[in-house]
Amino acid sequence: FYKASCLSSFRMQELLKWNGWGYNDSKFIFNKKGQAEFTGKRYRLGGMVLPTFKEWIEKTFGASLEHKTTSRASLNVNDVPPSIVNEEFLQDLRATKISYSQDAEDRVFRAHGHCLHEIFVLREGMFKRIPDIVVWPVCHEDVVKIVELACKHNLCIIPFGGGTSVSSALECPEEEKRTIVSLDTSQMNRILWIDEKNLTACVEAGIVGQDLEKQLAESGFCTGHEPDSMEFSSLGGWVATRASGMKKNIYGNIEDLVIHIKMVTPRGIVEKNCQVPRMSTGPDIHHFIMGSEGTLGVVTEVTIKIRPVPEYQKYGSVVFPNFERGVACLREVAKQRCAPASIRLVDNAQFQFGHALKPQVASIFTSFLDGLKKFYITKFKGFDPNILCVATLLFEGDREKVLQHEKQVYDIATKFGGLAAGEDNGQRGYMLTFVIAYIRDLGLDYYVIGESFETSVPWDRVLDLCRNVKERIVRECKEKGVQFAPLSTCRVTQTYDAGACVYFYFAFNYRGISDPIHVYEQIERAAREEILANGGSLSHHHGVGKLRKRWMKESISDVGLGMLRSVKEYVDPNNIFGNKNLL
Amino acid sequence: LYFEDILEERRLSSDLRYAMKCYTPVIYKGLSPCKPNAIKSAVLQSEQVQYVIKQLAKEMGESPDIIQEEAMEILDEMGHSMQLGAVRFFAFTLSKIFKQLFQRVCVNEEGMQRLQHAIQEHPVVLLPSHRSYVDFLMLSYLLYTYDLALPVIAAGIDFLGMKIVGELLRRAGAFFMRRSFGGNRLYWAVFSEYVKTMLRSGYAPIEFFLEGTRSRTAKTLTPKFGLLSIVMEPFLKREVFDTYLVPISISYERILEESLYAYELLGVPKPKESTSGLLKARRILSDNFGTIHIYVGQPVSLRTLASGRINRCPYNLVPRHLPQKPSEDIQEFVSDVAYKMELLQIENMVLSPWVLVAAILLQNLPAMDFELLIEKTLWLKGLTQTFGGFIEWPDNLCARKAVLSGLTLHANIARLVDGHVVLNDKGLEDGAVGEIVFKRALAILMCATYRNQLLNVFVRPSLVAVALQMTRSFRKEEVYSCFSFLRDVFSDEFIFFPGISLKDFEEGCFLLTKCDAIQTSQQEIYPTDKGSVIVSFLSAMFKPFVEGYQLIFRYLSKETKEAFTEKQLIPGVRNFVFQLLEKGNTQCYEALSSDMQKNALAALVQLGAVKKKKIVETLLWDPATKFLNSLAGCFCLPLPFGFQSFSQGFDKQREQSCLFLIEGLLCVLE
Repeated sequence: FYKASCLSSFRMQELLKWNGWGYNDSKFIFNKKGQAEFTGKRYRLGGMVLPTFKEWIEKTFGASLEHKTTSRASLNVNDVPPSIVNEEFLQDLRATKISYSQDAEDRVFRAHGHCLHEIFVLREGMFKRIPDIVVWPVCHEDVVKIVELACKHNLCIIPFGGGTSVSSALECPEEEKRTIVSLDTSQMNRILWIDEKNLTACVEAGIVGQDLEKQLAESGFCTGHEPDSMEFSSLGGWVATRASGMKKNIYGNIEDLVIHIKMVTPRGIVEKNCQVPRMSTGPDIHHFIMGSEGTLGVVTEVTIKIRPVPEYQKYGSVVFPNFERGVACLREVAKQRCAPASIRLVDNAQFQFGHALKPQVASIFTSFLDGLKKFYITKFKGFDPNILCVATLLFEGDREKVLQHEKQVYDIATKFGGLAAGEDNGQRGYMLTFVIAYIRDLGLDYYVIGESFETSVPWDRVLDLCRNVKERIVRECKEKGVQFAPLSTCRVTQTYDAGACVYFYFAFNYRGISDPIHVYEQIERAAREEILANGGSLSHHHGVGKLRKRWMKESISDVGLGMLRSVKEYVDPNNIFGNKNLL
Repeated sequence: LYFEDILEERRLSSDLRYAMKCYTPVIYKGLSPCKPNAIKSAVLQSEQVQYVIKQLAKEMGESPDIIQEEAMEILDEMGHSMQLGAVRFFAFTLSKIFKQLFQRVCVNEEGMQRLQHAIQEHPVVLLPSHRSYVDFLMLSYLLYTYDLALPVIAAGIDFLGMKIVGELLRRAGAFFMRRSFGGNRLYWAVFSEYVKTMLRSGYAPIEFFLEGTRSRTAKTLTPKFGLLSIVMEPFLKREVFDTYLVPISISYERILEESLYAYELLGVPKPKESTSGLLKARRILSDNFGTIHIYVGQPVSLRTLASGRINRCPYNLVPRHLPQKPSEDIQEFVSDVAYKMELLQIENMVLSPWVLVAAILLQNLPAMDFELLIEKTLWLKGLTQTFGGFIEWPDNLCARKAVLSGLTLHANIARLVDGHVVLNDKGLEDGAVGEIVFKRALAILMCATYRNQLLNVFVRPSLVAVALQMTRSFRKEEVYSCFSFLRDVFSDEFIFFPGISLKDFEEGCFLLTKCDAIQTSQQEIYPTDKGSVIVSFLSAMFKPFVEGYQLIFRYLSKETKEAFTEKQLIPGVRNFVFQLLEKGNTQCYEALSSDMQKNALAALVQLGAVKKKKIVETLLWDPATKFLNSLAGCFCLPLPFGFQSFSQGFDKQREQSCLFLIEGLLCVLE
């Protein structure tokens, strides 16, 4: 057995913010000089001053440092709905020796994911319904016992992994009258075995991404699955939401990585009889489980593919004169099937966003070099700094092969008017995805609210979809009385043979609006309608949860929905897993 | 509402300087400027056109190069080649000509400002009404004057028959479409892609006429859907964020082609567009054609129209470049949009006092006391305004002056003789009977051209009035059934938004209530004492149509036994009516109008009384004799029952009730 990390303590909220994203010690602040700074030592950006960030915020949102809102400093325990648990169940539970808690903070911490409205409630209000009790099983057998007890006492179970959901999947249905049990998988975090011959590992589903990679690395392996939330999200959560990782071009998405799943359901345990790369035994039951969003049962153990840790990693970036050329280049890279581990194309607004996070440069020499680069691109090559866009790249593998691969990709880029723009720009681009959620917390302090959402779309509609959705957001903001132009930006974040995944950031300054969350939700909904009308999907990897349920029928047809419902009815006839997601 | 006279400035300063002015038009924000030829090659290389070329090559076993060549030729025939030089030439010559022809050309300023914003924001489609060839010249002239991007204009291929002029128009932004190309897939692909390419890139506002051709009667023609569905497609496929549709109403105090139209309606063929013809027509330059009013309507966002209607994603499951027949939903949507835009055109059409005079005069032939005419004109002005008509009548202008100035401008139609106003049908005394009838018909049809401008404003309350008289019932339900029937019969004659019969009825009732002509309760409608004047005026206004249709139905039931073609029908009806007129058995001169005949036929087809058949490339109409046979001679039958069964869908009963209704129709009028 391997050791678990600090994040898997019972009370992980002690390390993490209770009302925002990530670690307590890591956040954006404005220092005494009024300059933006990122605190803590966990990230590369930690302790650095970001001289242009403040100006960017002011310019982009019309926000001012003088207008501040502050969150409640701590949870007001008196506001928290009481825990209602029947004594017979508690007796049975105690008999199993499984840890549990009815503490208010423990329950509130597991009552939400990280949607904007959820964070807003934490800062300013209280959820109407939260779990009545939290249980911490430490192994598969514990889960079996809990599910049996839930069936016996007719309780509702909501599985909880890393709590990073952005689909309202963790919110408790307000009308649920039964006791709600939050089943926290964080104590099921061991790697059970590693099979070096077949390159697989069997892992308990509660392990979070960074621990999994750290521990596998000790044996020289990795899964290569790196969703943006990997610091906090869990293996079971990835399976339950059909997650996708940044480096899917090499390692695949979760459905490509998973070899075997064990899940505990009210009907019993579901699993296969062997651990094989592929089998033809009717529809793959894994596909009922992946994306089931906690409606069918609890994933307890997963056998996942592993790879030797790559010898060499290299970031890179390419500047394109405009977004159209950039998309054409990514399409060509996908066509030639030579995409690096990751390739992303950010639009101009996001490029400027990334640029605003540039730390203070250490020497005159670097700043001189930066100036020279800028001069070369804008003046000599004639790129318009307000139109150009940037692709960020990550190569991985043998050193020699990486260099070869790099050349191939840069050659294609050249054909589309792209100019290599250095490793630094590339790396900063990826950093943005890890700190973006921290930036949202900063925005919330200054009347700026925002969120990200994603979709997948065929190649020929990428440009139209990006343009129309961004425009729709701008218009809806105007119509809804938002005083300042919003930030409405996108990137093509994954490439496939037949299409791409597009990721949007959307934020606005809500000063002067009485019900910002409602306005925000209306606009997000309009943006989703726009995506669907443009031939995009309901979700590429965030999932449906309760946030996007209304479009399920349209997305998969009546019959399709009926198929899913019938599975749910068979597996969980009493709706023990009653989080009301998906269906 | 403020109208600006754009000729005023022209009369004060140099036309040459105006034509040579620095022209830096307002253009679409996303436009990367390109030459007309670049558009053509983009069209040729487009996936859409290439797909059809490959398909045809495969089917016909020909080399794609040959078909590509053919596509190239189509493009060359079709494509505009807008050049500033030609535009300046037009700016100069049109200044001269317009100043000669017209007293004033008035434009609503805020409309131009709205248009200016619209052009920058999204691709724009200009949808003017079509009464004259002057329409599109005037519109381009207007946009040039206001420094807006000049439109590309869909023009009929016939213009290319005109030497020099055709090419000049091409350089001024006209592109040419063949009259019919339904079956030609290559042509369709090239044409639609050509239009869509210009629209998507925001190259220029696209202008075409929903009515398809100049309305010879000044009554809005039912819309054509082909071009509209093409320009709507880029939005429906989300290739553009939105598209603005701009209804534009151009109204003429006196229509340049008025007498040509009257001849044409009476069967004297329209002269082919030719340069020499144009030169011959220059004598009209010495004539006065009064004022033109151009009302540029509020740009209508296609996205707004579609929201909540087309929410399924009809194009998501097929690659967008494949030619695809639009779904029924979309066809219905296109049709609704077309009608909506035409109704907006009608709403904003400016009516001159003469229009009122013409309407009154036609009810008081052969002669009318001048004083009475003035009095009536003033009365009708009030009524028209109550119905939402948009009359241009200067505040301080007294009715006498208004009528007199109308009579002066239209001296060719009517004149004042001994305190009476009479139609101007000269040569009445000394011709043969046939000639007298023809001359009279000419004068009446010309006069009707002006009255017609009122009809679409009046049609809803008037059909309620007609229905009230026909049913002689106060029961709302019965009146409505009759109204609904009339609305169906006249569906090609007047513009009704599809499928809202009840709403139209309610609007008609509302307007009649507003002018105190009727009172309504939950179940019933009563004409007021005072209202009988209005009700009878309104039904008299539409009498020529009711009577004309009756004559046409009679002809169809009596005179034709077998199937016929349109070419046979029109002269047939004309002769039939002509004879009746000669004998003095009818006074309905308007039944001679080929426009009415065609509309009546279209209505009968829609009602199922006549069937359309295609036999060896010829369209035949086959009358359901049983239905039509007993139409005539039923003048004295009691009033009809059974409107309900009629309005509830067409079955066996329908024929019967249809019959009853038409009988009823005849009864009232005799």
